[in-house]
Amino acid sequence: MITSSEEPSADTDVGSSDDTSPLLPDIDHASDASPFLPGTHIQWAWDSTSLNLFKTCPRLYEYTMIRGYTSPHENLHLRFGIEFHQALQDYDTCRSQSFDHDEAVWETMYSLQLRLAAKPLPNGNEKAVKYKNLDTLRQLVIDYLDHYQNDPAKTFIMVDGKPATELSFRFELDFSPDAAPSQPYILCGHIDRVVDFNDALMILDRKTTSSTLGSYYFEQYEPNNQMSLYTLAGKVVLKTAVKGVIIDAAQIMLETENRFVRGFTYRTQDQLEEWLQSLSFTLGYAEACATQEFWPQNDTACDKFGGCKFRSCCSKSPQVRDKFLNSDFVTLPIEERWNPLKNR
Amino acid sequence: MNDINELFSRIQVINGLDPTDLTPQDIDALVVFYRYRRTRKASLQTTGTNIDDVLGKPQVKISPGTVRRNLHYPDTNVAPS
Repeated sequence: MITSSEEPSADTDVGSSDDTSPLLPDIDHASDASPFLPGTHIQWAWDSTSLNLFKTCPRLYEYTMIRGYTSPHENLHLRFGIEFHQALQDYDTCRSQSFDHDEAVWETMYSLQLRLAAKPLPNGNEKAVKYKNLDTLRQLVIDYLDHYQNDPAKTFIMVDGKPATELSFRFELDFSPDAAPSQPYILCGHIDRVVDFNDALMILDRKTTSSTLGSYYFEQYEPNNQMSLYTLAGKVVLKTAVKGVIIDAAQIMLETENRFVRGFTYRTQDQLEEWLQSLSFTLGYAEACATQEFWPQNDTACDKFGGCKFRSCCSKSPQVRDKFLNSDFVTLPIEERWNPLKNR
Repeated sequence: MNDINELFSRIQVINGLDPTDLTPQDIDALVVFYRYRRTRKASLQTTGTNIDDVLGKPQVKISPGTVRRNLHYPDTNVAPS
């Protein structure tokens, strides 16, 4: 919780009180710690993914984070987004190594082709596959890179001389689970890129969509859990004022050129403090659910985001629900479940 | 190779290639094709003019085929031309 009106820094109540950088050192995947307190389902390490799950519906959170249920088939939308992000990351890496634009595009397309030849995109429903397939992915990547060849948003260079790209962070909050007062909650995540845009530091986050990029699309980011967390993380990680997030939206078009629109979402200090205060309530609720080993359904969220994948199971009677969960979903082993502490 | 249809056919072949059979020219072809297709869509959208009629059909520029560093994967058997 930020208790002063000053900009947060490593020395205020937000962020670690010691000198440890909130940027992660290289950590071996085999040593990923559990985000739960030992012997409990009380989560102490959170990120925007796990927060989104819990805020949407505690039962959705339980099925995903606690019990590890997942769809038996890879999600096309998720994979398409991952490949797009990876391609842009490859391009950024090349440019930081003094490749020129065309060389970087070539390397990016080469790496993309290798990855997709080794593991093709999964199937989806008819509309999903129409918009998200190998052909549209390649077109989107090249169009995006050419569109932003002379990007006015310049990658921020940190004090150590490194470009502010692919920043994984963790920082402590100043409140803890009741069950473990000596273990503060931590917030984790991964920032793609920090840029200097019109003399302001902003987080840059890329999104792909087939939706029209108008004001309605960008309204979903205010308020928004992920954008608030990113803005806060940017301030803590960089120890300097970060105004908000640039949402770099890429709209997949079939008959006409792909469209690229940048939206901006800002967070004032007051808004960030309010978000943190709300977070303390949310995490308290999450701890209460874990202590009781009961996560209520939020039955007003079942039709959100195209419909919850667990809806058909949640609609069954509790006595038979597990049977349907076990037949419709697979259970991931613990090491494959979403873990905010896992290094990316 | 100097025809968009031939280029498109080549893309289909590239799609079916084993990663170890990719050549630098294949990647060049991909980049040329998708840039050309964007330009074509843009010209049809704004002017109704088919870009082929204005610029002629695209020539696929084959680079000397310098193999650049592979960012994420072990060296594949991609030889320079």
